[in-house]
Amino acid sequence: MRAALSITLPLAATLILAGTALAETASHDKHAAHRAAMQNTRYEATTEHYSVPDVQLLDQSGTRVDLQALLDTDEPLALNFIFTTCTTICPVMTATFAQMRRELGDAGGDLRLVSISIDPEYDRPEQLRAYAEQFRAGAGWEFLTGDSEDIVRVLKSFDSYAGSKMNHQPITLLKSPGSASWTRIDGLASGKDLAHEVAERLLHR
Amino acid sequence: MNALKNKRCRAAACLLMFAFCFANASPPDPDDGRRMYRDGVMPTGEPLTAIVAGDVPILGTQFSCQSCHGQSGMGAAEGTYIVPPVAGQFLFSESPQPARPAYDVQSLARLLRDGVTPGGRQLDVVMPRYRLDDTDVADLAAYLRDLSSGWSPGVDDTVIRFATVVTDEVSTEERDAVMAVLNTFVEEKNRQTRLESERWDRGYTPASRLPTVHRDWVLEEWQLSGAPDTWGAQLETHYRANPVFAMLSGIGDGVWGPVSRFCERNEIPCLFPGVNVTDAQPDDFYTLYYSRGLELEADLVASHLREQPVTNLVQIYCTEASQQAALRLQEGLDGTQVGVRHLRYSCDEALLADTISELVTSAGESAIVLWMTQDGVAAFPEKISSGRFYVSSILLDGAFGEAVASLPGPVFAAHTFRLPGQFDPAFARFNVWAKTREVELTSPRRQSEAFFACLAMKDAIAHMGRFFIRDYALDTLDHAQSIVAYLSYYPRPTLGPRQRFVNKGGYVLELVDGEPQSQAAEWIVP
Repeated sequence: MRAALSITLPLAATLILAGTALAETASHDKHAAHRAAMQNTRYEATTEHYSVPDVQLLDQSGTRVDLQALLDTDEPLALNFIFTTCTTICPVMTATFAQMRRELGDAGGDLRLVSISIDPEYDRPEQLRAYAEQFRAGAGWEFLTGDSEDIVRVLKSFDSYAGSKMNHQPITLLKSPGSASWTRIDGLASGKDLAHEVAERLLHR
Repeated sequence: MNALKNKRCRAAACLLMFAFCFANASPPDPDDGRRMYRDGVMPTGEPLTAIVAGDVPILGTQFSCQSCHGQSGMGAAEGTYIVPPVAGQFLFSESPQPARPAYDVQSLARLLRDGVTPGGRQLDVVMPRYRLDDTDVADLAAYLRDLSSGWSPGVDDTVIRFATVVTDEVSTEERDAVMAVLNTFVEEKNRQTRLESERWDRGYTPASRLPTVHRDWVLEEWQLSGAPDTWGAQLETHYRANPVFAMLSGIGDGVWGPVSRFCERNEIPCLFPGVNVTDAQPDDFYTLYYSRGLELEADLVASHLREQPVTNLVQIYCTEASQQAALRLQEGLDGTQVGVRHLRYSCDEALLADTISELVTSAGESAIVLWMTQDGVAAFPEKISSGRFYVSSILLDGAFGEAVASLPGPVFAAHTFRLPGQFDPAFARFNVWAKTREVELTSPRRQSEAFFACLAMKDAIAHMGRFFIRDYALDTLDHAQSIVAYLSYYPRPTLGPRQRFVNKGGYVLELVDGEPQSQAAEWIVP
């Protein structure tokens, strides 16, 4: 979906831009806007069951990765879908993953992060490597690509396929060690929110 | 440092005596603003810093203004997120929807720091809250004020102008075939919108009384001749006589560098030339290609050779473009044990068996790459055998035929198109378009490519509405993933922000007695 003029767009879409209207105040409260932004972060968490398809993907170093084996881990895990040339939500999601890890500190030491590219034709291991570096991803965070048909299978199995990558939604998936179910977070949660969800649901703290 | 300090003092003084500053202070620097907008870098060279999603610290190099708002500053949309336009004409004037007064430097600073518009609306958390001082905001405002402020050249109230470059190594038949598609498309488009210029002032609503957004397309053909290093000057002459809005399609069999440099230099969108090599540079913005052509084929052969190495590789070719591909392949084999040799012969002379034998006869397994057209492969000396041959599907025009079948050894084709025999829905559609308009398809691939170039241009122009701005046309194509469904020949086309090659991969097809083994073919993105 593209917009030449925002005026022509459906109301539902423009509402996303709108948040709580703030009263203009004479004295400038430096933290009012920040607090409002924190409260304004909206997301929804649900419990879902997914069956991971049997596919071989490639990580940022070009190594083949069996997705079922990777996700069937005895460590807590967070998964999202991104692409490296995405302009709007992906950089936010990626930066938020990094922030979530910082928020968790030592508690998140074992948390594994997985970001799967939904633009596998462009995002080869080389691009993913550069992207990981740009966001200072560090160890324990894998960026995956693969054959575009396999990626579509993965997206469909996680009920995250939106057709074109340009319709892609912010979704984060969390899984406890050994658990068959996933926590699905729809929306752009803050780093603190994600850390809270992870601590509560995955690390049981 | 002193200069910087002075600048900051000046900004503080400005806040105190806002009205006087316009008359007295040296103006803010739009070039500094441009670096912030485009690269996310402060005048000091440090990245901008910001908070996104409520509490996530980020750097301007991860999120520049441009990455979401586009090079044109005209905004975009992704998923359910709408990125509003920030070009001066929008920012510094009142907005009815969502309602807000015009920005000034102070309210812009508040927006950038706290995410609050002058209308009191809190922006979504996806918009970073940047740490900027008043001088930085003033610089940014100075850049935004003139960003996309007027129409680009090549447009007036009635027409929008395009040109198609045709180089002189292209055959007359191919040139005629491609121009027939382009001219037919343009004539038809103009016929369909011919009444639009009269329609606009007949309505009763304010919107219907706005001047029409429709323009007649005017297409000129620019023929280039002689040595490629003279093309730049030829293009400038054409451009001075007829400043076009954009370049539409284009045909070249050899090098394309001078044309892409011309497009970058003059900031002209060049949509989808049909070329065999691209000469694209990493930061190029203005040309969109179908693929990297022969260089993509070279990468496919390199990946095949890396998996199944040989001792000796001989690359044979007679043109500049093929040489470019051969050099690319050699680069792709850096760090392997494959010994690479080159044989460039004259396209007008027969290739001598003895010359090749000298290069091939050494110990170990050998492979020969024939960067040649049908005629070249047909004239290849029979008695030269090799452990393996590689051929170029682009140069053979997808027809492997008898010449390839008679090569004495296993043959592999670097193939960047749909597998032979695979149904091509976009081509079926184009074929009907051509038939119903009596356009004969003698160069089907190049003709279907030209047709797609027209569709892409039409799509970009439709999205621009009444804002005829070149960078905006390109920004809209960043998000035009849906139009690639209309592209023939290429099986997995994708577009995306700043992506300049629609097709990124291909196959290494094994040919047994000239028959492509499509079943076993695997899609490779090198």
